[in-house]
Amino acid sequence: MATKVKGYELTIKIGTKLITGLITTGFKIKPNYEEILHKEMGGVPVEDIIDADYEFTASGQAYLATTAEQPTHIDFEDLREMAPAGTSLAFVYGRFVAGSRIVSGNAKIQDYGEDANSKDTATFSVTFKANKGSVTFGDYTP
Amino acid sequence: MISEAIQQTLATIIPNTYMSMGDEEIITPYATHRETGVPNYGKAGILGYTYQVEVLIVDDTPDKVEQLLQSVKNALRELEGTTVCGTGIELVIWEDDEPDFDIESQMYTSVSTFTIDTSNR
Repeated sequence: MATKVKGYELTIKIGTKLITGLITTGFKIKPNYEEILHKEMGGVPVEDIIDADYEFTASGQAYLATTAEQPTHIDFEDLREMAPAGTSLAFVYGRFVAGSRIVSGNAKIQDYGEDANSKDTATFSVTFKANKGSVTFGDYTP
Repeated sequence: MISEAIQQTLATIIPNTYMSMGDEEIITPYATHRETGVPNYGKAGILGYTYQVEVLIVDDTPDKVEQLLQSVKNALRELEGTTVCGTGIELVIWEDDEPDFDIESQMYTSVSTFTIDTSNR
């Protein structure tokens, strides 16, 4: 019987910290190819891999980290301040279970937004783009 | 529990407040309420709960029903940010009212719906 991965298991850490109020994460890999078409190929091109772009998103409810959570969590206000600073942030994405495959590297915030109506809990969303060449795949060790 | 918090709050305005209606003869004004809730899931687990709360108010004139309804709305709004009967109440939103007249009992009624976010059950 296959093991199902539950949605809540796939999450991200910025540095070593989780994001308070996080509900949804997304992860996208876009490989970049170069088309090669030499004379001897008889008009049939091949695509050689150059590199890949990595992008991940996170969104959730605007919960503030409590004092007890602050050593292990960042919240939407931290992300709001990180966005215009343009600093490179270490990230880890995957299942934080010993031995699970994870993706890690450094990324910058490409997009950050908040939504707040007059009724519901405010929400935030953030998009990160990994720095070229920084991404590695490995096993999670707590 | 949210039901107990609502019961306690409404009973201060309408002493004849019930979680469910029995078949005994009840003196007006009276109110009933019911709550249905769903958990709000985050990556770290349950972030809280969202309840739909329905409050039925019954009295013999529409003015009295309206007056009680305003008191109920105010009282429920004031629960925001408090903990009542062990339930942390984060947000109280009034959604709508549905006034009506019951021909059989010759009583005026109002069914109000509120959305209430809580931090726990």
